Amino acid sequence: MKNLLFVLLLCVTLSAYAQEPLKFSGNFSNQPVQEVLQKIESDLSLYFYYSPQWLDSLAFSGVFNEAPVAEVLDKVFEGTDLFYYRAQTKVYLTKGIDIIQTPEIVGDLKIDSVVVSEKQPVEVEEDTGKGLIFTREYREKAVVENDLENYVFEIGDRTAFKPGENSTIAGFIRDNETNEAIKDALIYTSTEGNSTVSTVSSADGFYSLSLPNGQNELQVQFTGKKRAKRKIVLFSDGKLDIGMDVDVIALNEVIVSAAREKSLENPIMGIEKLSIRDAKVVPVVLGERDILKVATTFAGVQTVGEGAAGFNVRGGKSDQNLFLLDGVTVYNAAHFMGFFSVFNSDALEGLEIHKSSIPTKYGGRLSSIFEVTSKKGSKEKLSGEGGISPIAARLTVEVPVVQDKASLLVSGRTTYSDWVLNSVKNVDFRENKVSFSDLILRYDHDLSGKDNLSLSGYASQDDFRLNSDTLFSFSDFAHVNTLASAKWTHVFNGSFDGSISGTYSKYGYEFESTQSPPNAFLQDFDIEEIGAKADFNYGLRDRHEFNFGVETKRYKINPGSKMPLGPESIIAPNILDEEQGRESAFYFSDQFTVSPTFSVSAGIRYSIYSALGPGSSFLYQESLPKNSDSRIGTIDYAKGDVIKTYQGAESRVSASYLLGESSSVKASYSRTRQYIHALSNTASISPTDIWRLSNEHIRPQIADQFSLGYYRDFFDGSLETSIEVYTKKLQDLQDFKTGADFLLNNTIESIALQGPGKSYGVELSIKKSGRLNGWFNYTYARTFIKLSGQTAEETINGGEFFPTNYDKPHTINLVSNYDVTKRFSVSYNLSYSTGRPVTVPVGSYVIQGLELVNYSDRNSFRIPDYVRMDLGFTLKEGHRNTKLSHAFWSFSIYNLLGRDNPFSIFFDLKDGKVKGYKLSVFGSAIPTISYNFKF
Amino acid sequence: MSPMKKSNHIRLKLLGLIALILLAIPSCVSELDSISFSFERLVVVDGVFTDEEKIQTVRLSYTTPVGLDSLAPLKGARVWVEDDLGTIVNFIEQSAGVYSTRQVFQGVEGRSYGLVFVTEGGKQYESISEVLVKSPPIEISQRFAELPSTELIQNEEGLQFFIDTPDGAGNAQFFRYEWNDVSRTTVPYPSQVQTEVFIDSGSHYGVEFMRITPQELDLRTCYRFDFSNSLILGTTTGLSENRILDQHVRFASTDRLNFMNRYSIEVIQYATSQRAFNYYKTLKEFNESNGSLFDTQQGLVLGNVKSLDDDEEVVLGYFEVSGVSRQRKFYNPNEFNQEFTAAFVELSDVCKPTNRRIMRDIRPTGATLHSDVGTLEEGTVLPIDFFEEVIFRRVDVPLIGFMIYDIEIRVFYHPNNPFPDFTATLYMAPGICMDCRRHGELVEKPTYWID
Repeated sequence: MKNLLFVLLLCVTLSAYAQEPLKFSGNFSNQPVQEVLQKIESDLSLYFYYSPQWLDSLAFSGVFNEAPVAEVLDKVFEGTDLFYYRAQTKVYLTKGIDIIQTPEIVGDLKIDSVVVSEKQPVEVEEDTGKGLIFTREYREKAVVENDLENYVFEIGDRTAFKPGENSTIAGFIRDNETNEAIKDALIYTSTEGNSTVSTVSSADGFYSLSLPNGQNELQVQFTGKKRAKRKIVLFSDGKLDIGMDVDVIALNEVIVSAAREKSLENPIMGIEKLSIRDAKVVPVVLGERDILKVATTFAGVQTVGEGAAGFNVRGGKSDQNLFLLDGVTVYNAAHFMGFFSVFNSDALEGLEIHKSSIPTKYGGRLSSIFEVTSKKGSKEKLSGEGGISPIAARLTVEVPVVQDKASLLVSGRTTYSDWVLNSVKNVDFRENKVSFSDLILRYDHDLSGKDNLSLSGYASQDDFRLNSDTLFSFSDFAHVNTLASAKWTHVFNGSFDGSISGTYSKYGYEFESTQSPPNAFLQDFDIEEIGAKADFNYGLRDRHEFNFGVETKRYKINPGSKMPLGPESIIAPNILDEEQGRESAFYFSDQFTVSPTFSVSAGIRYSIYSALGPGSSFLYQESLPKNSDSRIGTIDYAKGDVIKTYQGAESRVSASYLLGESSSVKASYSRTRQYIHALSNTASISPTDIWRLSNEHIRPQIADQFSLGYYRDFFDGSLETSIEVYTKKLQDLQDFKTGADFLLNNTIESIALQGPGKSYGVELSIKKSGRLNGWFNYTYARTFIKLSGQTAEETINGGEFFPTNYDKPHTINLVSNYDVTKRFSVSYNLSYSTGRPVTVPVGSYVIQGLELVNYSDRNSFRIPDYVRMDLGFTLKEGHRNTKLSHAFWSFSIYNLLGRDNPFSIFFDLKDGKVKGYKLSVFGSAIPTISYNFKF
Repeated sequence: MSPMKKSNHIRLKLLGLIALILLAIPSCVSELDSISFSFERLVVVDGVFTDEEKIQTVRLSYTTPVGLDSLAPLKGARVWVEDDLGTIVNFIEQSAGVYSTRQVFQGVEGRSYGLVFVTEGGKQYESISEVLVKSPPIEISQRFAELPSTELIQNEEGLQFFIDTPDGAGNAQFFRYEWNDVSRTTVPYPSQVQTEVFIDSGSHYGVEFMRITPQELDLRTCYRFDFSNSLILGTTTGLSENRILDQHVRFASTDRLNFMNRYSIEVIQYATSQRAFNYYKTLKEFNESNGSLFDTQQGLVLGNVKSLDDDEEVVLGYFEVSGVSRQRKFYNPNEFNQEFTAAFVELSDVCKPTNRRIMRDIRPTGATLHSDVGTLEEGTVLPIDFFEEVIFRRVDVPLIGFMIYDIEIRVFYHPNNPFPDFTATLYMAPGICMDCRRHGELVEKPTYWID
């Protein structure tokens, strides 16, 4: 509803000229308001814009005699929920929404026509109003009722005032509409003659700044919110809460520059943020908006191939990324084996990827954190959105459970491919089944002004059954993610808040083969993680922001079990011992603003991991490859016994230095440790990959990353550029002997190889906002691993460093969107990358009449380069007041050029002969149309 | 097949399904033009030493560059097999790179055997000795099955042949299988003429003609031979009983079996060592990929042979020591189950010659022996020696859409010739009814064949 009006407003000039006083006379007695307005229109040549039904039941009585038009309108709409906004000869009426007009006042404190009201604005909690010391400075200023922007707030105790010293101002930034905390808002001083001091609000909206005592001006910026300004007189430490309004006028430029100014100063680097709004302009294949797919257009985030599951961040393996949905680990983030992510974008708030200086509160994975946040439901009114695409239908509903206090978000998505398959007559596909579904639930409750409770749940399921598949193969496969979390946030005081949370995550799969009754079986795997975390933020003056806490996770893994199915089956039950582990960490970090231009974020995370009993561990003869021949004994551990403990500190340090208004340099170092590993010897993540814990024989993986970056904004921040260089040193990367089989394998150590790795790269990125917006990046990245064991089977490529199979040196991404009109936009994507390395044969030979190929060095050849262009169009339906819902159509062409990008190259033995083939996933242009709506 | 491996198929099939849902998104596999890769020349050992009483053979060769059909035999080596009692069996080179025992030789259960060879250049290689394990008797069974075809659109129907070890597996745990099968097809109307198309170089320069001459071969019965062309492996590990049950060895599609009137399959079971089993399993995985991202990482597959002179030298291949058991079975089409017979096509159903198949408007030209015989009408009677050398001018035959000299159509001599001495009725029928070579090889009945 609101949006509709904004668009309307944006289509007209919004200049705020001083208006010459129009005078109006008239005598009305219980006359319909519509007629009153018509009379004003005809007398004064004004034009009213409104929806007639708003005025249907309204009548007005009153007499005007040469009254100013503003006074007339005030009277007419007095007691109604209608507001008006006048722009010269046009008067817009709105229902329930006050249009806020904010002409830019840059650093201007001296508005003489403004007088301070005696009526204290609600926001001020600490305004003594007693002393006389500074009153003269602003007593003469005009009173503007409720004009918080021009009101001068007194902060602190004026008796404690010490000129020339600093005091701390702290408070909360919240949304005036929902009363919710605004995280990551930028609060900065814009006092004339003083250098800028700034900070960013924490998750609960808290901020604090240390400012020179006396007169100051604060500004607050946040995406989608109108810039808020407060004039203050600071006497001593004190509090000021600031509410923000929805941005009715501001265009995107403002939003982006706000985010940018912040990012220039923030010492945290290697972070990518993606809001759902950004994600919506990127054309996608098959019409399913997918926030994770968009993430692959960021510098340093790659996948091995089209439609492949898993990400490689700055040369990291795909199991080195921690996917968090509202703080809960997601073990398999792929639907349809990687064609889609498990996250339904409609229910999401956004995505943050940390790829270099990972905050100390996160750990457990080497390469990155993908922090996915679900949306809070609206506490105000029922709303929803949904859409259909060729693959799936989805619906999201936000329900205010307790008005202004509690909300519920329910979002579901399901495929209807079964229906499609069933409707295909004549073909054997009818018995097949390919489907997925997911559901997000989130409940938020504002318990008091200081306590918030948030509960969330998530479930996803994938099923496929492929008709009468071959014997000895599984014909039914299903994998399921189940997540739950509870988080309680408490604000102790203005500078101290904390949260405790509990999380639960379970991922598992099972498949069954029933085609051959004597060999029918059911095989499964699952991992369960239960975690608890306490996290605190403490602000000391405005210069330190401490974050500290503890977390612990308990893992339970069923590494696999195979059970006979049916009475005829002669499959022997094979149940691998469960694995247990506990990973705990405590962390502390300080974001320290050393000077207005120099800030440092330094922290340490200390993690302790223990593999726990019950279980047994094999002993092997030293200096021999670990296999059944070298096994010399077994140690059994009882329940709760510690089998092996690994621990270590992970330091994370980063610093930024501002080089003037629009550029900065940053540097960071971070260490990460990983105790849980996905066993995979395939290029892409496969649903049959299994996670195993570190134990006596499998050491944790450790990574050290150094990065350095230079950032510069142009054109007032509408063009942001950056260059980041990084180098990574990795220890004990997990790999496998060739031909290793780790399903139902209870001696992983006999097939595992661990070796050092190294990655380095340069990321160049340009981001533009405005009518033509989007981003471009070029990445040069290399990543290598070295596997050098004692024997030939433990040594790969002669024990030298060799490129990993996700090493793609050159990557170019362009995502662009052009708003042709407010309703119609065009987007264009370009994606280029060097082909990934593959292992190719170095000779062929014949054994038992079969022609075979011999592979030697791993990854010695590259598949051809990947190039793809996409084009997308989005058309929003016309916004009319009478419509209850809004809709948009999107049409996209994926792989516009129809280029036959090879996915892989392989060699197959067919009819006794070896032939080379290439496989392309989408070998032609794919047009898709999808329909989305919102109510 | 491991689930990991299987997920390749799943993924491809899934892709196919998505493609179907979206009405043909092309996911395509295309053959590569030759890419030149680097080449490593390595010694390859290919030998199976069994407990069957026969001439035992070992093949030695070098690897060749991928895509080249050349062979690189390792010639002139001294080759022998030594058992754990020190007994030596010498092999002599029969042909380039092929080394065999002089006489039949039978490996003994419980003995272990190792291969040794010395190249002309004096480099010595040795295999790790393996114990010969007795292979338990096997029993072939079969049933109708559908397999997903690679074309994804339709499943392939056919017969799946299985192996059981009815008496248990004995000491053996790991098995490798080979099969070979034969189907016999007898055509109802063996062609008595042969046709040949030629282009006239004389008066009708450039015009295509067909020459019909008598057929001297008996095209009635042919045999088709197929044999396993992939590694088939089985194991009793992971089973609650010490036996092989329902081990799939051969899938013969209905297309392959249609028209035959007798079928025979032989399955050979090799009881191998665990090391050999693992070796073959990896070899199979690496060589039967399909390019999906779930393909396992490929690499070197080492067998049980190593160089004694150079630790670093990589030797490919395997010297397998195994006990062998085999079984051959014969089937008539009606002995298979009903599901199969319902789908099976008998040749007699297809081949019902009628006069309708006679071509119209075929004018013999250059009738050297006879004057113009006129238009060939339905039922036209021609003298027998008409076929000795009659040349037809090429005429397009609208009847079935192809040309008279198209190999799909053959002329045969009708046995119920109304004028046995002089004339024949010209009949035409699909080649599959007249020439058994469409179904197999025109060879003598195999020695093991039981009618």
